[in-house]
Amino acid sequence: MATDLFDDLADDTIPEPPDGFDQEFHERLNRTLLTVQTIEMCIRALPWLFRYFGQAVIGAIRFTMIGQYEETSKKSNIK
Amino acid sequence: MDTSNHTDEQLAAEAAREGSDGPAFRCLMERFRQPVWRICYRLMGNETDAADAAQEVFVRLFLNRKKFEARSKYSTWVHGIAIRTCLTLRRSRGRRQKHEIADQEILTHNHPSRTANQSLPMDLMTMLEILSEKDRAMLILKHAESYSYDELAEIFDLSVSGCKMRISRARKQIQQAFPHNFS
Repeated sequence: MATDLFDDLADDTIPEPPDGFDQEFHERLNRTLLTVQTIEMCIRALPWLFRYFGQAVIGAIRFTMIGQYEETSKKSNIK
Repeated sequence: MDTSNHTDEQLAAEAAREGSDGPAFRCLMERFRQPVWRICYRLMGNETDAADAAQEVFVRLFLNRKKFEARSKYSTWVHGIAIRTCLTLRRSRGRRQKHEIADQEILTHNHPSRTANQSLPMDLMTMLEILSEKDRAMLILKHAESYSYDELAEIFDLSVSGCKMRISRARKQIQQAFPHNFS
């Protein structure tokens, strides 16, 4: 019978997970998290960093060239 | 934290709040280690690939732990991730093997021994290789792990009748391809 042959699949014995499975999982998880967080940092933090320090560099060049800073903040009206 | 009397869903909610793999996630991993390992071993067919797949499943469970929305049972969600991971790994492995076989054929100029080996008797797992990955997985889970059609329908996102039809079609395909093994 065809059905019997397919039911033989259930007879295959399944070994236990290998020793050190948890250890290997944690190492793999750490590697994955490192990759994910590095990519996240590149996507989020680095553009902000370049923009922030880029403004300072541009300000320095501007001051060297024309002798004045860009007005970035309004002075308070406190008298 | 005593996690022993918590349901899977409660632990999943707790694990979603944890910043790292805390007690809730570790308890879930303990509970699902065996079921995930069984699925991976059945679908991957050997210990090395099964270990690789099972680790990948737990990594995905950890990374996606906040995405569980309790629309189904947590166990169904885990089984779904395990099966999809195995299918993805098998597909990528299949592509790699095809390249390797193609390279070998070029090197050996279609050596005749390969053709002769195809007429040797085959075991059931080898016969199942002719099926599509999805059909093979459904057939194995149905017969080896005794999944119900309802469970398969939910995991594979099909209707129950669709599942029945695919499994029946897969059986017929095997029987037609290897009639001597079913006589």
